[in-house]
Amino acid sequence: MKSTQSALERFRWSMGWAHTWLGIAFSTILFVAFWAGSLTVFDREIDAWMMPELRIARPEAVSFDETVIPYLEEAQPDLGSSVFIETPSERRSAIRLVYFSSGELNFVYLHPESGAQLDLTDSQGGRGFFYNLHYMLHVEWMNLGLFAVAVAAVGMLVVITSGLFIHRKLIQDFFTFRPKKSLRRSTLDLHNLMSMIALPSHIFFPFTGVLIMAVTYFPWSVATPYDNDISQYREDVFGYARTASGVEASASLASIDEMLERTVRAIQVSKETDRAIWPDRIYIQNYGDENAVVEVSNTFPTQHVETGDGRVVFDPYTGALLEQIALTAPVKQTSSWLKGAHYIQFDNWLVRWLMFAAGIAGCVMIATGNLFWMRARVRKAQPDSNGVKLVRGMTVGSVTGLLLASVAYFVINRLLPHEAELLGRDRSDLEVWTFFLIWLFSFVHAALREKSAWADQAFAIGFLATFAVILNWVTTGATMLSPEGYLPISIVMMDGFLLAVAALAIWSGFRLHGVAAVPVRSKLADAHEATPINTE
Amino acid sequence: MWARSGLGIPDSVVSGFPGLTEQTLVSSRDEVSNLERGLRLFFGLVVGYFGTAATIGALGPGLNALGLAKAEAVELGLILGLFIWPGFAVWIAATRRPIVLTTAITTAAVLVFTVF
Repeated sequence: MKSTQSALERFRWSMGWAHTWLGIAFSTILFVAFWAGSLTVFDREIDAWMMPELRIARPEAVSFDETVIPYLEEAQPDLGSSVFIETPSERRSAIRLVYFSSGELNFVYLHPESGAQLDLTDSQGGRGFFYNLHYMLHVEWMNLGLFAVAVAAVGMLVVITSGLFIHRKLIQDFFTFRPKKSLRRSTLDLHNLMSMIALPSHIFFPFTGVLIMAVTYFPWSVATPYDNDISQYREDVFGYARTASGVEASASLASIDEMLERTVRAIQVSKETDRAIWPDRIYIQNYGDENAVVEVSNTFPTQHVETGDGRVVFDPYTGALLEQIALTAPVKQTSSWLKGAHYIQFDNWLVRWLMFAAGIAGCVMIATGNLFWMRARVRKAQPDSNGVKLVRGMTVGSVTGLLLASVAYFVINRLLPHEAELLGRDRSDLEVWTFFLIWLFSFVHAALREKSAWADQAFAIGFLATFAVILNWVTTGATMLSPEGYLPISIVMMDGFLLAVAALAIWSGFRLHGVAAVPVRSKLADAHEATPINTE
Repeated sequence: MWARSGLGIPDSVVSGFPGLTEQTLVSSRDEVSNLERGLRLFFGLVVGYFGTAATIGALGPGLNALGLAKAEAVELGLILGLFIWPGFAVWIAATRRPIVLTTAITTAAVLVFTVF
């Protein structure tokens, strides 16, 4: 029998093994990356939900000379530090500043009309928390989180590639979902369907994710053409750079409004268009120093996928245009497009929703893969053995546990008082603690609950997600039907999303409730034991 | 043995390695242990990383020498080089060659790339 086994069968078996075990090994990190990445598509909307002070009207025109410059003169960022300014947009009306002052990194939001600093709810919100979770798991020590996500992303590419080899009927999988069949069968159908329906994104996002951070992963490789000096590469790629002299400038900043208008005109000329494309970033390099420079850019263009297209550099004290940097080389345009498509910050709502849906499809694919694998394994062992408890804890905690922690993060955001503090940690830290404690608890809970781990956590997600919507209404007065203040879309989206999650979780809870962890053996199950992947 | 092992190495050479028998050369569903498959994937990811780093490191100056600007050469090197990492992991998971020989060959390849 062994000798008649064809090379193709052996190859498919190898691929099946790689598909199963790499998938399982990286499923937790991948699920975190997909889930947090999907939420990050709407990070500004989450910010407005978690920090209601951001729900302000966007004025017709914004004067940075009357808002940002007075603030900077008063705040006095460290001499020679960098100041990033994000201009108001359809998705966020406030002006956002990031800079170093007295050795601390400051994130400040200014009112777009008055220039007054907004007294925000102390929270990391969506952008501060989920974005970091998405690409480095909040593990900054020696870039460990970054590398873990990168290896998982490469593992995902291997899993997807091997998955393509082991499926004989790819087209049929695309149209097959039998929810009324056994849970085992419908789980596998859903896994295949979600894999196929968003297949391009399952390949694209891990690849571009590694590409975005490739300079961190392969610093010596990148530095090779630059005589091993990576700073030269950064200057080459990121454009205009000046070294701080350490001497304080005698002149004050020239008009930023004028620089913005000149940037718009310069982009119009270079793009040969009449359409005014407003910059979204102002970067003051070496603030207050004699050698300061202002770079105005359209980092996430409104109608383009490419990032960083159209940067104009000014002298901060005279307002003189020093250089205009445009993406002209095909390689740079390609790289910029790949990265821009991963960031998903362009303002095409339909495409952004499709990208979000693709991310959620990835989550479902990983979750159903985990569920299928776990049920295939636990039935071979004693249901109360430590091994089964460990497997159950890891798989359930990785999937429903993460969702539970996420909705708990939203709930605690609405419950904590404005000035909350515990053990010397501020309010935003307490929110993050809650997230990780609930997540940890979900692993323990799943390990201890034999039959109802999935269902318990699904019901808890449903309850907490509904509770979060109610809390938003109670604490801010805003609902989906009558959103208060400006940016109603963020409330409609967040509340709608939470209610959808609640409905789906409760439905899943009923579907999974009372399902034995050790299913009765069947001919179908026996067939799958021989081939743990769908090879029909 | 030549044809069945798929190594492309003459029998006389293979027979010079103690313990390297037909049994070890032909891997199949039943003959490859989970430990070996796990090691293959581990090596695939680890060696694949260094292989990718070496490829990017080689492509940058190479493409630059062919006329691309340095920054563009590096960018293109990154885009192309990143295919090596998952590609290598898939290959090492699928190959029938024994793990020791595979590792030796790939390590040698990485060293050559790095020196280059």
